[in-house]
Amino acid sequence: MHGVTRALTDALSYLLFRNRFALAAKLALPLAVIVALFAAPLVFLLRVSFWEYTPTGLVPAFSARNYVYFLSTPVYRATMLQSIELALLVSLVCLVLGYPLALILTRVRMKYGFVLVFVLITPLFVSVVVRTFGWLVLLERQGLVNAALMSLGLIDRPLVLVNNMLGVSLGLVNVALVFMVIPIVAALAGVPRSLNEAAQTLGANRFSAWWYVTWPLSAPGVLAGFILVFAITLSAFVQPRILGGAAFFVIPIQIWRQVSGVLNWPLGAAMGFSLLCVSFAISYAAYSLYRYAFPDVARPVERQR
Amino acid sequence: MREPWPRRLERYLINAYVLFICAFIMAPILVVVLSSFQYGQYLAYPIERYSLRWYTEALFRPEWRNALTQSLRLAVQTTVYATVAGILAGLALHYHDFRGKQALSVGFLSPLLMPELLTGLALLFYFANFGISGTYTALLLGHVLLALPYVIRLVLTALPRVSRNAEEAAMTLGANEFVTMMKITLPLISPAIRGGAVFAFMVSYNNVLLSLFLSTPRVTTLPVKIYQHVEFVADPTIAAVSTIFLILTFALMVALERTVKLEVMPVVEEYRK
Amino acid sequence: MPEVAVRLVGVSKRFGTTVAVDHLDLEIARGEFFAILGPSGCGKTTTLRIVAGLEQPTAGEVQVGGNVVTNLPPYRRNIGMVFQDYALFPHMTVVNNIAFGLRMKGWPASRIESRVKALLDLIRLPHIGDRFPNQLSGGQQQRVALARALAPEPAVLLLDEPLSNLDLKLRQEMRLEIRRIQRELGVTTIFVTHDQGEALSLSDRVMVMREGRVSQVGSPVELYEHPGNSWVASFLGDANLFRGALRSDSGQTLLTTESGLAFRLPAGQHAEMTNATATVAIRPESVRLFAEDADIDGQTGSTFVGYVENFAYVGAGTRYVVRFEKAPSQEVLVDISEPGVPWRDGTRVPGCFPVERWIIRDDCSTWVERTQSIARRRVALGLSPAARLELLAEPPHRLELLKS
Ligand SMILES: Nc1ncnc2c1ncn2[C@@H]1O[C@H](COP(=O)(O)OP(=O)(O)OP(=O)(O)O)[C@@H](O)[C@H]1O
Ligand SMILES: [Mg+2]
Repeated sequence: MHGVTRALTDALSYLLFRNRFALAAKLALPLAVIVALFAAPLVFLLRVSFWEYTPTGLVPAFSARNYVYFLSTPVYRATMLQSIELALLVSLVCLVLGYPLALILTRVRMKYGFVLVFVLITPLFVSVVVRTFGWLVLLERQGLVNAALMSLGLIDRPLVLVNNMLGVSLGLVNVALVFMVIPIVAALAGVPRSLNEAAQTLGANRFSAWWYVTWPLSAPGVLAGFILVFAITLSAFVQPRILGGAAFFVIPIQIWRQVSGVLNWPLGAAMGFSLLCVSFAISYAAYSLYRYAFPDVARPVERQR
Repeated sequence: MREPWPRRLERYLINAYVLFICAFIMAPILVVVLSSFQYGQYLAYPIERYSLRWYTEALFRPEWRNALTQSLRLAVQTTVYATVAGILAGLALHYHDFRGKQALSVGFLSPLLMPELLTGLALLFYFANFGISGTYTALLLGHVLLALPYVIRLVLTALPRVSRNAEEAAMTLGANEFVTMMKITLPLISPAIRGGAVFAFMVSYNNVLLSLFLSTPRVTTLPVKIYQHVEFVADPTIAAVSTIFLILTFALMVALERTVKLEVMPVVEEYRK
Repeated sequence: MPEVAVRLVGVSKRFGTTVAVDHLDLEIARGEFFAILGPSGCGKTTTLRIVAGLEQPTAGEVQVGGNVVTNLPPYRRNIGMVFQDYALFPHMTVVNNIAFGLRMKGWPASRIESRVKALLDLIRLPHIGDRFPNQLSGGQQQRVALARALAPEPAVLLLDEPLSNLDLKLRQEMRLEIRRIQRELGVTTIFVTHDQGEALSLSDRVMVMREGRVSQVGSPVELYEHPGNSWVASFLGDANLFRGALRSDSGQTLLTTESGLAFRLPAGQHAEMTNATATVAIRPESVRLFAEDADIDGQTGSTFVGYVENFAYVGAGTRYVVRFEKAPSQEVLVDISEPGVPWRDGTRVPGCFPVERWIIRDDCSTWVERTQSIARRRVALGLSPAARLELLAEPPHRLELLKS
């Protein structure tokens, strides 16, 4: 018995550790996943975005027509603007809500601090679709919020809380907030409390200590959070679809329509990559703004690379 | 000694703010659970009569039951494959030195940086091209891809903390490389592996967007079904289904409470950078 | 005739451009307690890891128990190793730690149980079997690590600075403990340390390493009393080194330093090196100091007069730094074991270097290298193992004679 296990484990040792191809043996499975299921499909998608769509079928070609069409059609341009507007709005709200929260998490000793942490991370574990449905229940015409306000006599007729930018933003902020908080917490955790105290011994009041010391040093976290939340929101599909109603359009919904309705894959692919480019462009703009606003903080970060 | 009033005010403000945020985050979840006990056919507030009738409704409808079992099966299989592949990738990156290692580790984590919308779109076309779109395999492969980076990242942060000496000690005591890995290395990083497995499970179990691209009416998951139903109408049935769906999530979180308390904070910090 | 347990032949190890071990030849007899001593970074750990199979030598051959094991992985070498940080498995109890090697050998459970119990008794910790490593004190962890390494009855026990993480008192206690256990089991032991006290007090033989090479191998007494070169002399204990010109004078050998001091050396020896430059050494405890008004003319040896520059009371005695009156640029360290502090700063003291207490005379490092290469050549010539062992244990100056 022992001899058998020994021989077996020796063979596995040889396979995974002792032969020249040990590295390949370990990498085979995960690399196959990344290459065959991620890199190859994306390359294929890029290729498809240059195909042509005809009523009779897709024609493998190499033309920029889809991109040109997408960018030159007013409806799509308006949709793109709406997408960007939504993502910017959500990112800013997340920043305004999330920064104080990150400060509280890192700087304030709270008795039930772990509850807050727990609550903050539940969104990572609860499906987007359930939470979005919850918002619908809350914000609908006969939803909980309207019912409550009416029964309190604050309003006479239901407010329109859903099927518009407001509803979609609420749903998105709810999902994205944690992604703003985490990078800021990470950045703040790296700023020793003593720096702030040092500033105060040098005569700064609590606000100016924050403004001149803590805030600039947490800026990299803010940048990271902003980029992350922006990217998540820009490509969000479920919330705009459920909370935005039939007349609210963002690019992901347009993509979905192309793909599932008209089967115009090339246009859908082109829209997808355009969206990715916009995401990169805005991220780069945010990065430039950050470099401009915090040249002294940005420099050492670059040196580390 | 009493606190001076500005301090006290500040404390009240902070507490109020924290409460507000907690309410904001938890409200949509709680309201779903609450609505599921409604007696009436429509969602109406205040709830006048409570009942469990929508639960029996949900549980007796085979379409919901099938979607739930498919979701569970998918999540379990995703967890197994993603965990094994993730451990292998972590070991490769930790124990070997080779050219392009840095690039490879970035490559392994890159699915996290790509919007799921694009990944879903790409997989949809790609699988269609190979004629396996709409199959359970396609769904499984997509979920493994999404879950893998989480496992790799956790394993990679844990491995450097394993004492090389402990592994070498095992080898001087007669354990070959494989036995050393199974008895020393992997047990020592088991919190990370467990965390990675939980993340993998959750990623698969909760996924909507990618599944939406890859599912068909027959091969589908519960979140997709919920989505399709809510898109059409929001009623107490769906609240009951969602609550059943949530039970497992919370059961897992409670079961892992100790792990979560000790490890989720660092995990959270690791989660997407 | 001692049986050879471990033999290294021409073993070298390079890490990139660093040469960690450089052409090392070494033979260790069965049952011997062998220490490897040297300053940090001299290649002690690397040597040990090569024996263990945790490091592949760049060149050379490793034998354990007469078998060539150069290319065998550690788990096929039948060795036990205690690591500097003990490397106990944190997720296993003490019993499971000790039983690990036995399980790997496929022993039946009942035999494992009794063996573990016997080992726990051997390390005198019979009641800690169910604890986890983090519930043990440093000394206990140390003993468990020892028991774990010994459990599978290894042919060789390797210890890499096992005591360096313990406090002074515990370290001394564990020294005796390790020695007791080693004697009881008679297991061949290689002990790496940079603590000379440990090396001298524990081992049968010591190898002093420097920059990947053997500086000297021998018994503790030989090393301390007949260091092969000035480097070993000052590395093992303290030594006052004086460099100067040798001169023969009516049957006596004299050494005159540039600063004008003259020392009388043991007669006869090394007469052939007359008119050469040489370095001589004397231990601080060999130098003698006298009361200020004492008559020192009757002393055999070189006398001197100096001023106490500084002193440090260390309990067992007092260490003095004395500056020569005749050569104010030079000082000498003197250890006095009388109780109290007989002299204070600035006191003028007469002293003496007893002629028979000079310990070495060498010139430059080429001399040391020469003896090494001779030793190596003899080994390579294929003498019987016993003869080789004897040869390697020889103080280098006798090797010098052997050559001529
Ligand atoms: N894995 C390695 N890679 C590169 N260089 C190494 C490696 N291991 C050891 N070295 C180098 O080899 C030389 C000898 O190292 P070794 O660890 O054997 O010294 P040591 O005598 O044990 O020192 P210490 O007393 O500090 O433990 C050193 O210069 C060290 O920097
Ligand atoms: Mg060492």
